[in-house]
Amino acid sequence: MKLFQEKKNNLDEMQEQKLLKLESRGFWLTWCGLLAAMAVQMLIYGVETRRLLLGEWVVFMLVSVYMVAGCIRQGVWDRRLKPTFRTNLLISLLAGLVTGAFLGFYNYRSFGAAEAAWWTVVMAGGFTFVLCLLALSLSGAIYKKRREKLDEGEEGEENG
Amino acid sequence: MSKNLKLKSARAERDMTQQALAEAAGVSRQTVNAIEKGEYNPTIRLCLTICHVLGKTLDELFWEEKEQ
Repeated sequence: MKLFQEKKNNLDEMQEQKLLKLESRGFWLTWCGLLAAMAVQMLIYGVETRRLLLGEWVVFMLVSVYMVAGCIRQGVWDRRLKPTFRTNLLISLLAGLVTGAFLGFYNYRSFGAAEAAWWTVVMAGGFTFVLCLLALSLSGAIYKKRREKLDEGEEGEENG
Repeated sequence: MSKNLKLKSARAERDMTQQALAEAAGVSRQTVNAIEKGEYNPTIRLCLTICHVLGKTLDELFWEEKEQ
């Protein structure tokens, strides 16, 4: 017996679109809220939070990977940004700066060593920048290939 | 998006309320109202359904001249 049988949709197309918009906003609020909650907990509880945040971190990463994989599969990148090297560079730089500053502050609060905190800023920021640039470049390249494949398919169907 | 007065007058010609049109097209009255007020851009599928219900063509109900 099917537990979840497909039922008739009670919404018409406009209501469906409105619900999708609400769900989309809800998703981004949850995503940003989860990120903010993890950051605040790290600052409040210090080193102890690493184990406590495991569940949140796994959920956050799973959802993020699902979104990226789903978007690439559908040949969708972003509403406003394009996957160019310049954009990837700027986004990675921003990610590096934010992560470096946050982890530097976190380390300073946890251990109180200013010099070590500065090194954290440089190392964590640098690594985040490099990893982010690699991830964006790689996913951008995969997206472009996928986009080409989808466009080819559509052309073929039109001629057929 | 401007108001769809052609839809409103075609509905009036048939002496149909928004509710009656909505029921015949399988949507809510809220949606018909939003289309008439130009607040919602319906899919081609819904446009066709409305045209069939009102006995009009797509051009007669939904064609808009390009703004200069």
